Amino acid sequence: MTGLGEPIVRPDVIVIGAGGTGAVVAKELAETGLYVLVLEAGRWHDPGRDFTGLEWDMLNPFDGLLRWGPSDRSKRAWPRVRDGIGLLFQTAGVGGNTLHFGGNCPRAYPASVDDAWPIRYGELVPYYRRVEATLPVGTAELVARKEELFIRGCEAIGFEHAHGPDVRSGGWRMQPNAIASVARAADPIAFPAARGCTQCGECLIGCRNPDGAPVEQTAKRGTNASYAPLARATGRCEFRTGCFVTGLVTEDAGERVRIKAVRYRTEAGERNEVEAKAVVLACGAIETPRLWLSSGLPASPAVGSNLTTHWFDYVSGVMPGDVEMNQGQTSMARADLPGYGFIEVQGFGPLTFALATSMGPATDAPGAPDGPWAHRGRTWGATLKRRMEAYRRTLTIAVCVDDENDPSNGVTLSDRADEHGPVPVVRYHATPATIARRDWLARRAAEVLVGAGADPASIHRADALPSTIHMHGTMRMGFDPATSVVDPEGEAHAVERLFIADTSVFVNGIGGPNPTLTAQAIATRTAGHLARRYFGS
Amino acid sequence: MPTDAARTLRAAAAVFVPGAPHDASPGAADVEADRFLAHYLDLIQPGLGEGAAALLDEVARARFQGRAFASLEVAERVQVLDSIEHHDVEQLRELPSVLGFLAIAAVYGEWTGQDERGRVVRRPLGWDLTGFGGPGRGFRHLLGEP
Repeated sequence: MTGLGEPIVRPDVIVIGAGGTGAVVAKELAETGLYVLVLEAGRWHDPGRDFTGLEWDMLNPFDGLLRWGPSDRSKRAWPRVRDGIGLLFQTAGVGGNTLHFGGNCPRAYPASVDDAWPIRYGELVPYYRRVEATLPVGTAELVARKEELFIRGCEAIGFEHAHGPDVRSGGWRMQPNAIASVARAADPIAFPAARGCTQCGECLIGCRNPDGAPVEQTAKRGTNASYAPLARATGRCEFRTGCFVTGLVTEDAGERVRIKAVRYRTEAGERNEVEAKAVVLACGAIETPRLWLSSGLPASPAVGSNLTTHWFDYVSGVMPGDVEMNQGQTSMARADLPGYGFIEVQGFGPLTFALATSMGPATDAPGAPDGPWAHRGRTWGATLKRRMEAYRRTLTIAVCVDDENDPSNGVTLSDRADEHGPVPVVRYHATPATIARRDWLARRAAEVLVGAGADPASIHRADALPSTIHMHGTMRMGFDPATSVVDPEGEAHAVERLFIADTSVFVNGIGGPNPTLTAQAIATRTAGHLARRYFGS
Repeated sequence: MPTDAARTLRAAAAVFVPGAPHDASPGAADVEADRFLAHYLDLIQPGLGEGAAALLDEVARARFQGRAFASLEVAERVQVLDSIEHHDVEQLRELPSVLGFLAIAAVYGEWTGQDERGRVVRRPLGWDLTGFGGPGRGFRHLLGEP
């Protein structure tokens, strides 16, 4: 760590949130010569000092380092009201949810953009390329045991080997990962002798390796290690951390209002207001609509609606020999299945495996299974213990569904409040079409496992509860202010000089693929439009 | 936390991750997972640890002739948890899932290997139960030639 950047007293642009997209906007704007202030609720962690590699310490939602809550971990996490959702994944801190993502950076399925978005897939490609070069993104180089088995299973059921970044048909492929190249073995495995990914398997709980590496040299290219340092290096960007934005201030501008200032609360309880010529919301699909609503900005049925989550599921099976799912990057191979979503090999530490695959609904009742699995749903007691004893021989596949839009899914305000204002209600209930697609994917995952050699009697479908591991679509883009919140360039229809540059502007779930790269491409594009539209740069 | 409440939480945790005499390997009760549950329940909401124990006992007594939750057989405890999952008060229905989440975390996370300052000073039970080698700095056999 070398500080939070030069202090910016009179910013041109305020970016709210230093997560997966806010840091991208900050870097792009600062490089055009604008002065940028980034307000971030959490801290800028030093992976070498702060990340422990311990699953509960890092990831638990109550006092884990990567939780959504104050940096004083003895204080309660920030409350949220859940409706139909199990766990809400939000992360305070520079890097945001890229601190615990797997580094998987596929592009959207072209048809899912072309069929529904106000911009064409082809318009996104130059921005994809720019992000892919900056992070950078590379094709996973390694076939660890779990990938070897996954690929064997895919080929056993007829999935073809696909190549290239544009997914127009189904097939398995090596993951496009924002993770540095494989390190050379060194003794000890430590920086600077070892540079790149050491295959430690800790992508989901905070990348801290190689041992001794500065944050910019840690292997996984979360924005804490990539875009935020690049923004800081311009000398025109300050990351003001521990600052939770509580309000957006507007002024009259004729037919609509114009953004004027941002109010925020520090962790010490001080309340401040800072003005700027433009503001970018990059708080994520929950906080962005919450902030809009709690600030009393113009109401629209589109605000907070159409949340999609890819409603994850996990299917696992026990192999004859060791799999060692904790070794290697979390996921290095996937099978894209347009029209349904995708499946990917999934590495977990034992606790994350237990919690992800055991906390589904209580549907694991005796009786005929309803699919190619021996068990489905929650596992407790002796069943759980036997599954955990087979941990080292277990192969797990994650299922990510292309979930259907439902306007009733999304974010509203509850009548409860915390120190930052009204607490959001996050609602997600799947449609019948989503459930059918997810079942189809889970069946394919089970077939891949059996094709890879798993004992059919060991196949377990978690039927995991909805979560916000991925979340998008609550402030969608479009031409019509009646059905969208921002225009195709990311500026709010109702508020001049207020832009949104996070996954909330997604029109749909982009077909199922991991959303980070697409969100970063759109953030890059939005930053360019903002700079040209209001600063002539 | 009062002894009775701790005993109740321990009995609940043992449903999710059983140990002796119901299972061959150690489980939640063997590592006194009630301390872990009580800590996190009270972090979620002050007083929730004792409140959860009181609710488990209340439902147990109503359903099983005045018997406390900790005195029930495992199958009976499961019935109590199922009953709470369908409770008339919606806010209570999630309690069994929260208890299960915490019981699993107590056993399969690092807690059983930590000292009072959070340092891992011995192998946690869950790593032994699963054969997990613990966090590390990389896997040499997956790296390039030196």
